[in-house]
Amino acid sequence: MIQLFHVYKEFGGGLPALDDINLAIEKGEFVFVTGPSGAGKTTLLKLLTGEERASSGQVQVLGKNLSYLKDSSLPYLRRNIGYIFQDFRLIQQKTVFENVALPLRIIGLSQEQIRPRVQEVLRSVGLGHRADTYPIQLSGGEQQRVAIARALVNRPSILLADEPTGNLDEQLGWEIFTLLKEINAYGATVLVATHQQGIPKKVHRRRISLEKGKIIYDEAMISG
Amino acid sequence: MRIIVFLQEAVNNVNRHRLLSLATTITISLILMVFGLFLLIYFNLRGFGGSLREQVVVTAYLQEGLTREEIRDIEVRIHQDPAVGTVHFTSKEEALQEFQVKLQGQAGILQGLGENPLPASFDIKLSPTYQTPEVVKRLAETLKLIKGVEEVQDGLDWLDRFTSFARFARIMGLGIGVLLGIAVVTITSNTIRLSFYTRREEIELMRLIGAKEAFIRAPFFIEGAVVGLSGGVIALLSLGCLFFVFQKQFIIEKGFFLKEVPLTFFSFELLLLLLFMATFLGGMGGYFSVSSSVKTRRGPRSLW
Repeated sequence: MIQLFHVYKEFGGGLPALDDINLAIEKGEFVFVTGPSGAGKTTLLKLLTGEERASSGQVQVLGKNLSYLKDSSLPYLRRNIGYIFQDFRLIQQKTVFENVALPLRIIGLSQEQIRPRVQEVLRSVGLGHRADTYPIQLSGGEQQRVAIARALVNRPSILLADEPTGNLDEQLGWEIFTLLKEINAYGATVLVATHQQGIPKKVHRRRISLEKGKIIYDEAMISG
Repeated sequence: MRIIVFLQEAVNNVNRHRLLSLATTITISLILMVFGLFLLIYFNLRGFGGSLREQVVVTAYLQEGLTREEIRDIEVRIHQDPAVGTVHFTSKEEALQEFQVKLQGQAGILQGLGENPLPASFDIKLSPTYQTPEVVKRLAETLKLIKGVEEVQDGLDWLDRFTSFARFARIMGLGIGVLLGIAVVTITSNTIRLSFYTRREEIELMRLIGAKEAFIRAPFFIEGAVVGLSGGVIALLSLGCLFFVFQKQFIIEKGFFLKEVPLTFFSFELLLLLLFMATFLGGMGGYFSVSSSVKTRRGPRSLW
Protein backbone atom coordinates (compact mmCIF):
# COMPACT_ATOMS: atom_id res chain seq x y z
CA MET A 1 0.00 0.00 0.00
CA ILE A 2 2.75 2.43 1.00
CA GLN A 3 6.41 1.76 0.34
CA LEU A 4 9.50 3.94 0.64
CA PHE A 5 12.95 2.87 -0.55
CA HIS A 6 16.02 4.84 0.48
CA VAL A 7 14.13 8.09 0.46
CA TYR A 8 15.97 11.35 1.00
CA LYS A 9 14.43 14.77 1.13
CA GLU A 10 16.51 17.91 1.21
CA PHE A 11 15.32 21.48 1.22
CA GLY A 12 18.69 22.93 0.33
CA GLY A 13 21.34 23.56 2.96
CA GLY A 14 21.70 21.90 6.32
CA LEU A 15 20.63 18.42 7.29
CA PRO A 16 18.18 16.49 5.12
CA ALA A 17 14.61 16.55 6.33
CA LEU A 18 14.41 12.83 5.64
CA ASP A 19 17.49 10.64 5.62
CA ASP A 20 17.40 7.18 4.02
CA ILE A 21 13.86 6.19 4.93
CA ASN A 22 12.82 2.59 4.23
CA LEU A 23 9.28 1.72 5.08
CA ALA A 24 6.45 -0.61 4.11
CA ILE A 25 2.90 -0.19 5.37
CA GLU A 26 0.34 -2.85 4.52
CA LYS A 27 -3.31 -2.40 3.69
CA GLY A 28 -5.44 -1.99 6.78
CA GLU A 29 -2.59 -1.10 9.13
CA PHE A 30 -2.82 1.58 11.82
CA VAL A 31 0.53 3.29 12.23
CA PHE A 32 1.75 6.08 14.48
CA VAL A 33 4.66 8.18 13.28
CA THR A 34 6.11 9.85 16.35
CA GLY A 35 8.99 12.17 17.03
CA PRO A 36 9.72 15.71 18.21
CA SER A 37 8.85 18.76 16.12
CA GLY A 38 11.17 18.97 13.15
CA ALA A 39 11.84 15.23 13.02
CA GLY A 40 10.39 15.00 9.52
CA LYS A 41 6.90 13.65 10.22
CA THR A 42 5.01 16.21 8.12
CA THR A 43 7.56 15.94 5.32
CA LEU A 44 6.96 12.20 5.29
CA LEU A 45 3.22 12.69 4.95
CA LYS A 46 3.71 15.32 2.25
CA LEU A 47 5.78 12.84 0.24
CA LEU A 48 2.89 10.41 0.32
CA THR A 49 0.45 12.93 -1.19
CA GLY A 50 2.93 14.21 -3.73
CA GLU A 51 2.87 17.67 -2.19
CA GLU A 52 6.63 17.31 -1.96
CA ARG A 53 8.82 15.12 -4.13
CA ALA A 54 11.65 12.98 -2.76
CA SER A 55 15.15 14.29 -3.53
CA SER A 56 16.17 10.70 -4.18
CA GLY A 57 14.77 7.23 -3.58
CA GLN A 58 11.37 5.82 -4.50
CA VAL A 59 7.97 6.50 -2.96
CA GLN A 60 5.15 4.14 -3.85
CA VAL A 61 1.57 4.81 -2.85
CA LEU A 62 -1.42 2.72 -3.94
CA GLY A 63 0.71 1.04 -6.58
CA LYS A 64 1.90 4.34 -8.09
CA ASN A 65 5.54 5.36 -8.08
CA LEU A 66 5.36 9.03 -7.23
CA SER A 67 8.77 9.76 -8.74
CA TYR A 68 7.27 9.10 -12.14
CA LEU A 69 3.79 10.46 -11.55
CA LYS A 70 2.99 13.62 -13.49
CA ASP A 71 1.67 16.68 -11.65
CA SER A 72 -1.54 16.39 -13.62
CA SER A 73 -2.12 12.86 -12.27
CA LEU A 74 -1.68 13.85 -8.63
CA PRO A 75 -5.33 14.88 -8.11
CA TYR A 76 -6.48 11.34 -8.90
CA LEU A 77 -4.08 9.87 -6.35
CA ARG A 78 -5.16 12.39 -3.71
CA ARG A 79 -8.81 11.48 -4.13
CA ASN A 80 -7.93 8.13 -2.56
CA ILE A 81 -6.15 9.73 0.36
CA GLY A 82 -7.94 11.47 3.21
CA TYR A 83 -5.90 14.16 4.99
CA ILE A 84 -6.51 15.52 8.48
CA PHE A 85 -4.60 18.56 9.77
CA GLN A 86 -3.75 19.87 13.20
CA ASP A 87 -5.44 23.17 12.41
CA PHE A 88 -8.48 21.47 10.80
CA ARG A 89 -8.39 23.74 7.72
CA LEU A 90 -12.09 24.19 7.45
CA ILE A 91 -13.38 26.91 5.15
CA GLN A 92 -14.94 29.45 7.49
CA GLN A 93 -17.36 30.92 4.94
CA LYS A 94 -18.90 27.53 4.23
CA THR A 95 -21.23 25.53 6.40
CA VAL A 96 -20.28 22.19 7.92
CA PHE A 97 -22.26 20.48 5.17
CA GLU A 98 -20.49 22.43 2.40
CA ASN A 99 -17.09 21.75 3.92
CA VAL A 100 -17.68 18.04 4.03
CA ALA A 101 -19.22 18.04 0.56
CA LEU A 102 -16.14 19.65 -1.02
CA PRO A 103 -14.27 16.43 -1.98
CA LEU A 104 -17.44 15.13 -3.64
CA ARG A 105 -18.01 18.38 -5.51
CA ILE A 106 -14.45 18.15 -6.76
CA ILE A 107 -15.06 14.78 -8.36
CA GLY A 108 -18.19 16.17 -9.98
CA LEU A 109 -21.01 14.44 -8.13
CA SER A 110 -24.45 16.00 -8.32
CA GLN A 111 -26.17 17.62 -5.35
CA GLU A 112 -28.53 14.63 -5.14
CA GLN A 113 -25.63 12.21 -4.89
CA ILE A 114 -23.74 14.41 -2.44
CA ARG A 115 -26.49 15.01 0.14
CA PRO A 116 -27.03 11.45 1.45
CA ARG A 117 -23.32 10.71 1.61
CA VAL A 118 -22.49 13.85 3.52
CA GLN A 119 -25.34 13.29 5.94
CA GLU A 120 -24.25 9.73 6.52
CA VAL A 121 -20.64 10.61 7.21
CA LEU A 122 -21.64 13.50 9.48
CA ARG A 123 -23.82 11.12 11.49
CA SER A 124 -20.92 8.68 11.77
CA VAL A 125 -18.76 11.35 13.44
CA GLY A 126 -21.68 12.37 15.65
CA LEU A 127 -22.42 15.70 13.96
CA GLY A 128 -25.54 14.87 11.98
CA HIS A 129 -27.37 17.73 13.67
CA ARG A 130 -24.74 20.42 12.97
CA ALA A 131 -24.78 20.30 9.18
CA ASP A 132 -26.03 23.88 8.75
CA THR A 133 -23.77 25.57 11.26
CA TYR A 134 -20.51 27.32 10.44
CA PRO A 135 -17.14 26.06 11.70
CA ILE A 136 -16.71 29.06 13.99
CA GLN A 137 -19.81 28.02 15.95
CA LEU A 138 -18.25 24.66 16.80
CA SER A 139 -15.83 23.59 19.53
CA GLY A 140 -12.31 22.44 18.63
CA GLY A 141 -13.19 18.77 18.96
CA GLU A 142 -16.27 19.22 16.78
CA GLN A 143 -14.25 21.08 14.16
CA GLN A 144 -11.74 18.25 13.99
CA ARG A 145 -14.59 15.78 13.59
CA VAL A 146 -15.88 17.84 10.67
CA ALA A 147 -12.39 17.68 9.18
CA ILE A 148 -12.38 13.91 9.67
CA ALA A 149 -15.79 13.66 8.03
CA ARG A 150 -14.40 15.61 5.07
CA ALA A 151 -11.45 13.24 4.85
CA LEU A 152 -13.76 10.21 4.96
CA VAL A 153 -16.60 11.27 2.71
CA ASN A 154 -14.73 10.09 -0.37
CA ARG A 155 -14.14 6.65 1.23
CA PRO A 156 -10.37 6.87 0.83
CA SER A 157 -8.19 3.80 1.16
CA ILE A 158 -5.54 5.76 3.07
CA LEU A 159 -6.11 8.27 5.84
CA LEU A 160 -3.23 10.56 6.81
CA ALA A 161 -3.51 12.56 10.01
CA ASP A 162 -0.97 15.26 10.84
CA GLU A 163 -1.10 15.99 14.57
CA PRO A 164 -4.86 15.45 14.62
CA THR A 165 -5.11 15.92 18.37
CA GLY A 166 -2.44 18.60 18.69
CA ASN A 167 -4.94 21.38 19.33
CA LEU A 168 -7.25 19.35 21.57
CA ASP A 169 -7.15 18.37 25.24
CA GLU A 170 -6.46 14.79 26.16
CA GLN A 171 -10.10 13.78 26.58
CA LEU A 172 -10.97 15.05 23.08
CA GLY A 173 -7.77 13.52 21.78
CA TRP A 174 -8.97 10.11 22.88
CA GLU A 175 -12.34 10.69 21.21
CA ILE A 176 -10.65 11.50 17.93
CA PHE A 177 -8.35 8.53 18.28
CA THR A 178 -11.32 6.21 18.89
CA LEU A 179 -12.90 7.58 15.74
CA LEU A 180 -9.72 6.92 13.76
CA LYS A 181 -9.64 3.37 15.12
CA GLU A 182 -13.20 2.81 13.90
CA ILE A 183 -12.27 4.10 10.47
CA ASN A 184 -9.33 1.70 10.47
CA ALA A 185 -11.63 -1.15 11.44
CA TYR A 186 -13.66 -0.47 8.29
CA GLY A 187 -10.57 -1.20 6.22
CA ALA A 188 -8.74 2.12 5.69
CA THR A 189 -5.00 2.28 6.21
CA VAL A 190 -4.40 4.98 8.82
CA LEU A 191 -1.18 6.91 9.39
CA VAL A 192 -1.09 9.30 12.32
CA ALA A 193 1.82 11.68 12.80
CA THR A 194 2.09 13.06 16.33
CA HIS A 195 4.67 14.50 18.68
CA GLN A 196 2.57 13.46 21.67
CA GLN A 197 3.82 10.39 23.46
CA GLY A 198 0.71 9.60 25.50
CA ILE A 199 -1.73 7.92 23.18
CA PRO A 200 0.74 5.98 20.99
CA LYS A 201 2.35 4.48 24.07
CA LYS A 202 -0.90 3.44 25.65
CA VAL A 203 -2.39 1.70 22.65
CA HIS A 204 -0.96 -1.27 20.90
CA ARG A 205 -0.37 -0.14 17.40
CA ARG A 206 2.67 -0.08 15.20
CA ARG A 207 4.85 2.88 16.06
CA ILE A 208 7.55 4.43 13.90
CA SER A 209 9.80 6.97 15.59
CA LEU A 210 11.60 9.63 13.64
CA GLU A 211 14.44 11.79 14.82
CA LYS A 212 16.39 14.27 12.72
CA GLY A 213 14.95 12.70 9.60
CA LYS A 214 15.93 9.13 10.42
CA ILE A 215 13.82 6.19 11.56
CA ILE A 216 15.16 5.26 14.97
CA TYR A 217 12.47 2.80 15.91
CA ASP A 218 9.88 0.80 13.98
CA GLU A 219 8.06 -2.01 15.57
CA ALA A 220 4.79 -3.65 14.74
CA MET A 221 3.17 -3.98 18.17
CA ILE A 222 0.89 -6.86 18.92
CA SER A 223 -2.52 -5.40 18.38
CA GLY A 224 -4.76 -5.17 21.40
CA MET B 1 -24.90 22.45 -13.01
CA ARG B 2 -21.23 22.88 -12.20
CA ILE B 3 -21.01 26.08 -14.18
CA ILE B 4 -23.74 27.56 -11.95
CA VAL B 5 -21.68 26.80 -8.85
CA PHE B 6 -18.63 28.41 -10.46
CA LEU B 7 -20.71 31.43 -11.47
CA GLN B 8 -22.05 31.87 -7.95
CA GLU B 9 -18.54 31.70 -6.57
CA ALA B 10 -17.30 34.23 -9.12
CA VAL B 11 -20.13 36.66 -8.35
CA ASN B 12 -19.46 36.28 -4.62
CA ASN B 13 -15.82 37.11 -5.20
CA VAL B 14 -16.61 40.16 -7.29
CA ASN B 15 -18.96 41.21 -4.53
CA ARG B 16 -16.37 40.64 -1.83
CA HIS B 17 -13.98 43.09 -3.52
CA ARG B 18 -16.69 45.40 -4.80
CA LEU B 19 -14.73 48.64 -4.97
CA LEU B 20 -11.64 47.10 -6.45
CA SER B 21 -13.67 45.17 -9.00
CA LEU B 22 -15.42 48.40 -9.93
CA ALA B 23 -12.11 50.23 -10.30
CA THR B 24 -10.79 47.41 -12.48
CA THR B 25 -13.92 47.36 -14.58
CA ILE B 26 -13.62 51.09 -15.19
CA THR B 27 -9.92 50.84 -16.02
CA ILE B 28 -10.61 48.04 -18.45
CA SER B 29 -13.49 49.90 -20.01
CA LEU B 30 -11.22 52.93 -20.52
CA ILE B 31 -8.58 50.79 -22.17
CA LEU B 32 -11.17 49.15 -24.38
CA MET B 33 -12.58 52.56 -25.25
CA VAL B 34 -9.21 53.75 -26.47
CA PHE B 35 -8.88 50.57 -28.46
CA GLY B 36 -12.42 50.83 -29.79
CA LEU B 37 -11.94 54.46 -30.75
CA PHE B 38 -8.85 53.55 -32.68
CA LEU B 39 -10.67 50.71 -34.35
CA LEU B 40 -13.57 52.99 -35.27
CA ILE B 41 -11.26 55.52 -36.82
CA TYR B 42 -9.51 52.77 -38.69
CA PHE B 43 -12.70 51.24 -40.06
CA ASN B 44 -14.04 54.59 -41.15
CA LEU B 45 -10.78 55.47 -42.81
CA ARG B 46 -10.92 52.16 -44.61
CA GLY B 47 -14.48 52.84 -45.70
CA PHE B 48 -13.37 56.29 -46.82
CA GLY B 49 -10.51 54.68 -48.71
CA GLY B 50 -12.93 52.33 -50.38
CA SER B 51 -15.14 55.14 -51.60
CA LEU B 52 -12.07 57.08 -52.68
CA ARG B 53 -11.00 54.15 -54.75
CA GLU B 54 -14.43 53.97 -56.34
CA GLN B 55 -14.15 57.62 -57.14
CA VAL B 56 -10.86 57.25 -58.89
CA VAL B 57 -11.45 58.62 -62.34
CA VAL B 58 -8.86 58.59 -65.07
CA THR B 59 -9.38 61.55 -67.33
CA ALA B 60 -8.09 61.53 -70.89
CA TYR B 61 -8.00 65.03 -72.43
CA LEU B 62 -8.31 65.09 -76.17
CA GLN B 63 -6.41 67.12 -78.74
CA GLU B 64 -8.10 70.06 -80.40
CA GLY B 65 -9.97 69.67 -83.64
CA LEU B 66 -10.78 65.97 -83.70
CA THR B 67 -13.67 64.79 -85.87
CA ARG B 68 -16.65 62.86 -84.48
CA GLU B 69 -15.33 59.68 -86.06
CA GLU B 70 -11.92 60.09 -84.49
CA ILE B 71 -13.52 60.66 -81.10
CA ARG B 72 -15.68 57.56 -81.56
CA ASP B 73 -12.58 55.54 -82.48
CA ILE B 74 -10.89 56.68 -79.31
CA GLU B 75 -13.91 55.65 -77.25
CA VAL B 76 -13.91 52.20 -78.85
CA ARG B 77 -10.23 51.76 -78.07
CA ILE B 78 -10.75 52.83 -74.48
CA HIS B 79 -13.47 50.25 -74.11
CA GLN B 80 -11.15 47.52 -75.33
CA ASP B 81 -9.24 47.60 -72.02
CA PRO B 82 -10.81 45.06 -69.60
CA ALA B 83 -10.19 47.32 -66.59
CA VAL B 84 -12.50 49.98 -67.92
CA GLY B 85 -15.90 50.21 -66.27
CA THR B 86 -17.85 53.23 -67.39
CA VAL B 87 -16.77 55.90 -69.82
CA HIS B 88 -18.25 59.36 -69.89
CA PHE B 89 -17.59 61.84 -72.67
CA THR B 90 -17.47 65.53 -71.99
CA SER B 91 -17.42 67.81 -75.01
CA LYS B 92 -15.68 71.17 -75.08
CA GLU B 93 -19.03 72.92 -74.64
CA GLU B 94 -20.11 70.76 -71.73
CA ALA B 95 -16.75 71.33 -70.07
CA LEU B 96 -17.25 75.04 -70.32
CA GLN B 97 -20.76 74.82 -68.92
CA GLU B 98 -19.58 72.76 -65.95
CA PHE B 99 -16.81 75.23 -65.39
CA GLN B 100 -19.26 78.08 -65.38
CA VAL B 101 -21.49 76.32 -62.89
CA LYS B 102 -18.53 75.74 -60.60
CA LEU B 103 -17.45 79.34 -60.80
CA GLN B 104 -20.88 80.79 -60.28
CA GLY B 105 -20.73 84.41 -59.23
CA GLN B 106 -17.24 84.79 -60.60
CA ALA B 107 -18.23 84.58 -64.22
CA GLY B 108 -16.04 87.61 -64.91
CA ILE B 109 -13.00 85.40 -64.98
CA LEU B 110 -14.28 83.73 -68.10
CA GLN B 111 -14.93 86.91 -69.99
CA GLY B 112 -12.13 87.95 -72.16
CA LEU B 113 -11.09 84.44 -72.80
CA GLY B 114 -12.65 84.60 -76.20
CA GLU B 115 -12.39 81.11 -77.57
CA ASN B 116 -13.31 78.18 -75.34
CA PRO B 117 -9.96 77.01 -73.96
CA LEU B 118 -11.24 73.79 -72.34
CA PRO B 119 -10.52 70.46 -74.06
CA ALA B 120 -13.01 67.64 -74.60
CA SER B 121 -12.35 64.64 -72.36
CA PHE B 122 -13.24 61.06 -71.45
CA ASP B 123 -13.83 60.28 -67.77
CA ILE B 124 -13.09 56.62 -67.20
CA LYS B 125 -14.13 54.72 -64.09
CA LEU B 126 -12.59 51.36 -63.40
CA SER B 127 -14.64 48.22 -62.97
CA PRO B 128 -14.69 47.19 -59.27
CA THR B 129 -12.18 44.34 -59.45
CA TYR B 130 -9.55 46.54 -61.06
CA GLN B 131 -9.50 49.41 -58.58
CA THR B 132 -5.85 49.23 -57.58
CA PRO B 133 -3.16 51.86 -58.04
CA GLU B 134 -1.20 49.50 -60.32
CA VAL B 135 -4.08 49.12 -62.77
CA VAL B 136 -4.74 52.84 -62.77
CA LYS B 137 -1.12 53.48 -63.59
CA ARG B 138 -1.12 50.93 -66.39
CA LEU B 139 -4.38 52.22 -67.85
CA ALA B 140 -3.05 55.77 -67.85
CA GLU B 141 0.03 54.62 -69.76
CA THR B 142 -2.11 52.80 -72.33
CA LEU B 143 -4.38 55.78 -72.81
CA LYS B 144 -1.46 58.06 -73.48
CA LEU B 145 -0.52 55.90 -76.47
CA ILE B 146 -3.90 56.36 -78.15
CA LYS B 147 -3.69 58.75 -81.05
CA GLY B 148 -5.66 61.92 -80.37
CA VAL B 149 -5.18 61.82 -76.60
CA GLU B 150 -3.34 64.91 -75.46
CA GLU B 151 -2.91 64.26 -71.76
CA VAL B 152 -4.00 61.77 -69.07
CA GLN B 153 -4.69 62.58 -65.42
CA ASP B 154 -4.95 59.67 -63.04
CA GLY B 155 -5.41 61.30 -59.58
CA LEU B 156 -3.20 58.56 -58.29
CA ASP B 157 -0.94 60.49 -55.94
CA TRP B 158 -3.76 60.88 -53.51
CA LEU B 159 -4.74 57.23 -53.63
CA ASP B 160 -1.13 56.14 -53.22
CA ARG B 161 -0.63 58.30 -50.21
CA PHE B 162 -3.90 57.20 -48.70
CA THR B 163 -3.16 53.53 -49.26
CA SER B 164 0.20 53.72 -47.51
CA PHE B 165 -1.34 55.71 -44.69
CA ALA B 166 -4.03 53.06 -44.28
CA ARG B 167 -1.36 50.35 -44.18
CA PHE B 168 0.54 52.28 -41.53
CA ALA B 169 -2.65 52.74 -39.54
CA ARG B 170 -3.35 49.01 -39.72
CA ILE B 171 0.08 48.04 -38.41
CA MET B 172 -0.15 50.68 -35.67
CA GLY B 173 -3.61 49.43 -34.77
CA LEU B 174 -2.41 45.88 -34.52
CA GLY B 175 0.50 46.87 -32.28
CA ILE B 176 -1.66 49.06 -30.06
CA GLY B 177 -4.30 46.34 -29.91
CA VAL B 178 -1.78 43.75 -28.70
CA LEU B 179 -0.37 46.14 -26.08
CA LEU B 180 -3.81 47.05 -24.79
CA GLY B 181 -4.75 43.36 -24.72
CA ILE B 182 -1.75 42.64 -22.52
CA ALA B 183 -2.77 45.57 -20.30
CA VAL B 184 -6.25 44.10 -19.85
CA VAL B 185 -4.87 40.70 -18.89
CA THR B 186 -2.36 42.20 -16.46
CA ILE B 187 -4.83 44.51 -14.76
CA THR B 188 -7.52 41.87 -14.27
CA SER B 189 -4.92 39.39 -13.17
CA ASN B 190 -3.72 41.78 -10.46
CA THR B 191 -7.21 42.47 -9.15
CA ILE B 192 -8.21 38.88 -9.08
CA ARG B 193 -4.99 37.90 -7.41
CA LEU B 194 -6.47 39.59 -4.36
CA SER B 195 -9.35 37.14 -4.46
CA PHE B 196 -6.78 34.44 -4.77
CA TYR B 197 -4.88 35.61 -1.70
CA THR B 198 -7.97 35.77 0.45
CA ARG B 199 -8.81 32.22 -0.59
CA ARG B 200 -5.27 30.91 -0.65
CA GLU B 201 -5.74 28.40 2.15
CA GLU B 202 -8.95 27.15 0.65
CA ILE B 203 -7.17 26.60 -2.66
CA GLU B 204 -4.27 24.75 -1.03
CA LEU B 205 -6.81 22.56 0.69
CA MET B 206 -8.67 21.91 -2.55
CA ARG B 207 -5.42 20.88 -4.12
CA LEU B 208 -4.68 18.49 -1.28
CA ILE B 209 -8.04 16.79 -1.49
CA GLY B 210 -7.60 16.15 -5.19
CA ALA B 211 -9.06 19.10 -7.07
CA LYS B 212 -7.74 19.47 -10.59
CA GLU B 213 -6.20 22.80 -11.58
CA ALA B 214 -9.04 23.47 -14.00
CA PHE B 215 -11.57 23.06 -11.19
CA ILE B 216 -9.62 25.43 -8.95
CA ARG B 217 -9.12 28.05 -11.63
CA ALA B 218 -12.54 27.98 -13.20
CA PRO B 219 -14.14 30.42 -10.72
CA PHE B 220 -11.21 32.81 -11.17
CA PHE B 221 -11.50 32.57 -14.93
CA ILE B 222 -15.20 33.36 -14.66
CA GLU B 223 -14.54 36.19 -12.24
CA GLY B 224 -12.11 37.73 -14.73
CA ALA B 225 -14.53 37.13 -17.56
CA VAL B 226 -17.33 38.91 -15.65
CA VAL B 227 -15.06 41.90 -15.04
CA GLY B 228 -13.91 41.88 -18.67
CA LEU B 229 -17.43 41.63 -20.03
CA SER B 230 -18.66 44.47 -17.82
CA GLY B 231 -15.73 46.61 -18.93
CA GLY B 232 -16.50 45.76 -22.53
CA VAL B 233 -20.17 46.62 -22.25
CA ILE B 234 -19.42 49.95 -20.57
CA ALA B 235 -16.76 50.78 -23.16
CA LEU B 236 -18.96 50.01 -26.16
CA LEU B 237 -21.97 51.80 -24.74
CA SER B 238 -19.91 54.93 -24.08
CA LEU B 239 -18.32 54.72 -27.50
CA GLY B 240 -21.75 54.32 -29.07
CA CYS B 241 -23.05 57.41 -27.27
CA LEU B 242 -19.97 59.41 -28.23
CA PHE B 243 -20.29 58.29 -31.81
CA PHE B 244 -23.90 59.33 -32.19
CA VAL B 245 -23.39 62.65 -30.44
CA PHE B 246 -20.43 63.33 -32.72
CA GLN B 247 -22.39 62.38 -35.79
CA LYS B 248 -25.36 64.52 -34.83
CA GLN B 249 -23.33 67.56 -33.76
CA PHE B 250 -20.76 67.71 -36.50
CA ILE B 251 -22.24 66.03 -39.47
CA ILE B 252 -25.97 66.43 -39.46
CA GLU B 253 -26.26 69.82 -37.77
CA LYS B 254 -23.12 71.70 -38.59
CA GLY B 255 -22.02 69.95 -41.74
CA PHE B 256 -18.67 68.37 -42.16
CA PHE B 257 -16.19 68.05 -44.94
CA LEU B 258 -16.79 64.30 -45.12
CA LYS B 259 -20.48 64.75 -45.62
CA GLU B 260 -20.72 62.45 -48.60
CA VAL B 261 -18.85 59.62 -46.84
CA PRO B 262 -21.17 58.18 -44.18
CA LEU B 263 -19.51 57.40 -40.85
CA THR B 264 -20.18 53.87 -39.65
CA PHE B 265 -20.24 52.33 -36.17
CA PHE B 266 -19.20 48.73 -35.50
CA SER B 267 -21.30 46.07 -37.16
CA PHE B 268 -23.28 43.75 -34.92
CA GLU B 269 -20.84 40.91 -35.55
CA LEU B 270 -17.89 43.09 -34.66
CA LEU B 271 -19.63 44.28 -31.49
CA LEU B 272 -20.09 40.65 -30.47
CA LEU B 273 -16.48 39.90 -31.33
CA LEU B 274 -15.24 42.83 -29.24
CA LEU B 275 -17.35 41.78 -26.26
CA PHE B 276 -16.12 38.23 -26.62
CA MET B 277 -12.55 39.51 -26.73
CA ALA B 278 -13.00 41.61 -23.59
CA THR B 279 -14.58 38.64 -21.81
CA PHE B 280 -11.88 36.27 -22.91
CA LEU B 281 -9.00 38.60 -22.02
CA GLY B 282 -10.54 39.23 -18.59
CA GLY B 283 -10.92 35.49 -18.15
CA MET B 284 -7.29 34.94 -19.04
CA GLY B 285 -6.34 37.53 -16.44
CA GLY B 286 -8.33 35.60 -13.86
CA TYR B 287 -6.80 32.33 -14.93
CA PHE B 288 -3.27 33.67 -14.67
CA SER B 289 -3.93 35.24 -11.29
CA VAL B 290 -3.95 31.70 -9.94
CA SER B 291 -1.45 29.93 -12.09
CA SER B 292 1.36 32.38 -11.58
CA SER B 293 0.89 32.12 -7.84
CA VAL B 294 0.90 28.34 -7.95
CA LYS B 295 4.56 28.32 -8.86
CA THR B 296 5.56 30.19 -5.74
CA ARG B 297 4.06 27.38 -3.72
CA ARG B 298 6.75 24.93 -4.73
CA GLY B 299 10.16 24.97 -3.14
CA PRO B 300 11.30 25.29 0.45
CA ARG B 301 8.22 27.04 1.78
CA SER B 302 8.19 25.22 5.10
CA LEU B 303 10.91 22.98 6.35
CA TRP B 304 8.76 20.40 8.05
